[in-house]
Amino acid sequence: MFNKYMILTREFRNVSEGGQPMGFQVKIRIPYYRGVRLSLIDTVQLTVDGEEFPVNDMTFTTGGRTYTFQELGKVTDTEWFFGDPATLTVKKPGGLATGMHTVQLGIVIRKSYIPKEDPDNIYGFPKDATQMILHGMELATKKMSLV
Amino acid sequence: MDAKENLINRRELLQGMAATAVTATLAPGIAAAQPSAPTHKIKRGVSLYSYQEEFYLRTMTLDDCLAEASAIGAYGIEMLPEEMMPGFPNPSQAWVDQWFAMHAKHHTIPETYTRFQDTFLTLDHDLNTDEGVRFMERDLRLAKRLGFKNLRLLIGTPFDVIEGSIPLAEELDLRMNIEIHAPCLVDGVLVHKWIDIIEKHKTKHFGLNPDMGLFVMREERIDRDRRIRDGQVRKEVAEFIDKAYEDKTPEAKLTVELKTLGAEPGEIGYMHAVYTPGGQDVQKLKPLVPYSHHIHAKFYEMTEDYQEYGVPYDQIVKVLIDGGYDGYMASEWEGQRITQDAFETDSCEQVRRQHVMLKRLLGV
Repeated sequence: MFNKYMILTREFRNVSEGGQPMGFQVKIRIPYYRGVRLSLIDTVQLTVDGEEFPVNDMTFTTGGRTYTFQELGKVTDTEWFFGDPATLTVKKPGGLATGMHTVQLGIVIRKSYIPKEDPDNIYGFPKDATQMILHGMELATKKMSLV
Repeated sequence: MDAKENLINRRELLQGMAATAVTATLAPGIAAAQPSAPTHKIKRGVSLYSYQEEFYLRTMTLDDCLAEASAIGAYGIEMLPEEMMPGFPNPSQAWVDQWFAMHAKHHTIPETYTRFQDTFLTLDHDLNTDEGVRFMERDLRLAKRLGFKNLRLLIGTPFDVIEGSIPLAEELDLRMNIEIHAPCLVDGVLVHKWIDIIEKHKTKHFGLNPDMGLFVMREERIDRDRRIRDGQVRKEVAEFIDKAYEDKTPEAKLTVELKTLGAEPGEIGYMHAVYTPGGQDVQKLKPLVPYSHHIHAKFYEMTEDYQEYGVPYDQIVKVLIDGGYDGYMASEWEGQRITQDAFETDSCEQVRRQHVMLKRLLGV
């Protein structure tokens, strides 16, 4: 859902520290039908040109505040608003080269209201469906030029 | 809020009077062909969820959504505050003032507030009962502040949280209606557990919110086409399965034929979807009507001749009228997630088509 809108082309760029390119940033939107508390952002997987970047090398910025992914899981008072771009800033010394890049993004939003367990099967979800609802990943791939 | 409701009632009264006047001036034969005055109190509404894609892309604002709902006579508004309210759950007073001003301008009313019980808000702690009830209290108080009459609770809301929240719902005079959503059995254990809570507390402040996606009687063709686009099913195999279903070929026989032809797992999956679209008997809705305060008019594809491809709304509306349902039927369009990969989304047109249908079926 909304996969095709998840990765934004605009403001895809390198970022510098002390005049040296130290990484890049990409703007993303939520692939879900509501905004969520940041703690419900379960997983973010980012791959550029086949290189996967661990979340420890990324930060997440929304509403003018920047969070590490360790912090994100504990933030229950701030929302990633539905449709609002957030910024992923990724550490990569030297940044990305000018030209075309293939950006792949996977996001899991925890469906925190679905019963985790259903021992008496009263909710009627098949077991694998429950897993999918709890942890299903939305995926998108986009080719974008970095200038 | 009462003033706004009165305005709508007055509008409905005027529309009724106008219809009577027209009928009275027509020749008897023509008058007989007019729809008779409605014998029910069902009203048309819309869940703004239906306009999610335009809102997400910022091509429609909340004000635009309300204006569109008003333009099609869907005055009862369902909203997911977590989808469309900036600053959730603590909107500014300026935003709340604007909210009421928008409804006044468009003659709409805040009807149902959809909320999510985020029991697993963090990975290291699940909300216990007290925390869960406080979480519900947040939404009850916000719904009241925004002038809503109902809340839609989602399927996983724990029973103890529901029961613990009834006193506050009664105090605030809000109805918490839990959604019965596919694949939940309309007459299953879960629904009976909810009805037991209603009966035990003898309350009108907890009720049901059936979702008409329970009654998908044939595989939606937009779903078939998506499976084809996603490469799960070859087009000619889909057509072969559709034909076999039409010809009433038994599923077991078709399974053997497909396996002989080297069908892929996705194609066997499509066959199951065609043979078992999951729709339950619409008549099973009837005993739930007295407990239902909101109906989700779920739909996936409204065709150009104003039919939902898979959901039999003529049967549904008849059951609701016969059962004495007197609340809103709120459009909830969910087709966009199936078609948006290949087609431009026009939520307004899809919702409009459903309201042409509902207007015909309801007479209002």
